[in-house]
Amino acid sequence: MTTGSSVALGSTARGRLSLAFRTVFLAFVGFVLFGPVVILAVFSLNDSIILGFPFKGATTSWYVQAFREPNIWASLWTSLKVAAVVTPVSLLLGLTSAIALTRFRFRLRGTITAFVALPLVIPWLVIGVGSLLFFSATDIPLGLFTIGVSHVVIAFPLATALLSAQLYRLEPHLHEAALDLGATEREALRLVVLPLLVPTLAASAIFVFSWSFNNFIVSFFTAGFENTFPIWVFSTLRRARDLPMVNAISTLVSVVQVIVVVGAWQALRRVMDRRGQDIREIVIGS
Amino acid sequence: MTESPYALELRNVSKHFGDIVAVDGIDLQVPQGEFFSLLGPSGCGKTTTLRMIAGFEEPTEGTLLLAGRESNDIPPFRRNTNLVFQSYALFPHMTVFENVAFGPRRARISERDVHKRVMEALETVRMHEYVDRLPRSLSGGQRQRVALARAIVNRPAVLLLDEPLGALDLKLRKEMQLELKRIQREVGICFVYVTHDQEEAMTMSDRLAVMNRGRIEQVGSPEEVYHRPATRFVAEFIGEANLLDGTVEAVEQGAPTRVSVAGDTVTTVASCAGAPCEVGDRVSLVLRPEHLHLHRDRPNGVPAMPGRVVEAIFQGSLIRFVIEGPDRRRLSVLDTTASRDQAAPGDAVWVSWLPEWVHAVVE
Repeated sequence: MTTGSSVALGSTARGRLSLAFRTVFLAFVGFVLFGPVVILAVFSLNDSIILGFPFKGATTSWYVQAFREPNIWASLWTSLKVAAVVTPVSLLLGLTSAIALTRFRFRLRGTITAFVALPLVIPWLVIGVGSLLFFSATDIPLGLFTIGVSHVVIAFPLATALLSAQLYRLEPHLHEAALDLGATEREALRLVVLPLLVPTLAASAIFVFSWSFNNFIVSFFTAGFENTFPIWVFSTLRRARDLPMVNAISTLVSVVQVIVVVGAWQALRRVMDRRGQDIREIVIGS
Repeated sequence: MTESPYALELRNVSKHFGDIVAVDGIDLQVPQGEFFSLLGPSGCGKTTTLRMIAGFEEPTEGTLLLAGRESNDIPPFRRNTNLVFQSYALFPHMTVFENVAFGPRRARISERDVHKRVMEALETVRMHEYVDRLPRSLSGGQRQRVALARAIVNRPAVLLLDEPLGALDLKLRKEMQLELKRIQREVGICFVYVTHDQEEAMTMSDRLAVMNRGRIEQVGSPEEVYHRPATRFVAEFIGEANLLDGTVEAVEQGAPTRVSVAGDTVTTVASCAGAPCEVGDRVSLVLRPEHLHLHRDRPNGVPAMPGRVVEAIFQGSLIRFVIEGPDRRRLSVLDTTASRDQAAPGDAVWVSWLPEWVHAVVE
């Protein structure tokens, strides 16, 4: 909603109606999107184990309890470890596959493109169950390794998609120009192609990291005895008296994630501004 | 490297893409220091030829020599050629200086020499005051100059230009044509310039090759290809031409002295490029509009054709007449001496020409 159009329309009755409608609509969308998170945050401060009104009074005791719960920290640490390995591996796979699929013409290119994109449309539940069947059939013990592998499977196609979109948009002759000026293939990649992909790589890293860190369904099937944070949340939810503590730690983790992601995005935008690029190019194209 | 008078030589070079023959056995010799153009309509194989010279495509057949050295198998980054792309392909994350320094830095010369050569090149194209700017903050014409500097700074044996003025507006294009010619004279590098714009090629080139369907139709100076086109295609592609189809009736030393045009026995004398003519050959007479004159009555002593004025179009310095001749054939006439009062639409006139300006091409 632009200020200009609402001012112009605001002068007529029809404009006022439309403005009211748009406000209500936006409020509704906002409520559906953020309502659950807000309720979670509100009840994490409620001095009661019952998730319902009336409000019994404010307390931070659930946060204190959460801080004293060692399983929370162990599971958060597990999730961080997994995401920290899944992210670079996915970026590498995403980068190499994106370059291969955009730069070269070869037989079965279309087929391979489809296979790379497949994990983006197959339900994660199916991927989770499939991974479990695969790992048990091949006698690979479930644990950090299997979580990591299955996370890479679902996350690297996202990096491929973002990076190949950017490679398509980059001037196709830039690479040739580098070769023409005496750069070897490796120099052309290092000096021209990669620097221009840095913002997209950073954006991919943000997305892949949060996909891995937040993933429950695939981890649930491939974790074995490991507890990632989402798995810990799920298992703790079954004990009603711990519910407020889950609310507390979930609120905290969400806030930290939002701060980290927004912070990283802002930093990226400043870098791109300095280079004269527009961050919107990464997600919506230029 | 053997010393060769030619910066570039192509010997029977072909390029096939699957079943498509993009370039079909072309021979070309371009001397050192020449401004040479490859001119032709889109899809004629000129860009493919350029990309083969740059090393981005490998010839299917034939030999490519750069400064006398066989270069078919030399990869682009080791070739002594540089290409100015139509889109300029400036590196967006590098300043003007860094863009131009990219080539010299790959050659592993000292940073001081790099600086000297870059500044020299930027001064040649008059962009030395913009060293710290990013490409996106430059205008189209300025980017064009930087792209040129980035290529000439490497002192290539051959500088290749792929329709580099295509993205500029008309006024700037005219300006850059003269500028390119000046720069080429100044640096003395052989320029191979690809364009579909015949006027551009005529303005700048020492010599040019007219290409059509993967073949070279004619190589020569702009005057040669204009006044003595070798084929009907060249005659039509270069400048404006009235083409009269006829049959040779008499020949002297391979050139027709009498040609009958479409039943009306228009007698003329014509020069003839390419294969010698024989009596009975089908030829096209090429008559440039500016070589035709209008008369009220049949002129004496010169070949002439009757016709009727269809249109008289005022074009500032001259008037363009469209004349309908016998057989409903239309002729375009640019007569600087005739006025619109003399020949108004509907008037019966005679069109004449001087025999020495007539040129015949064999079909």
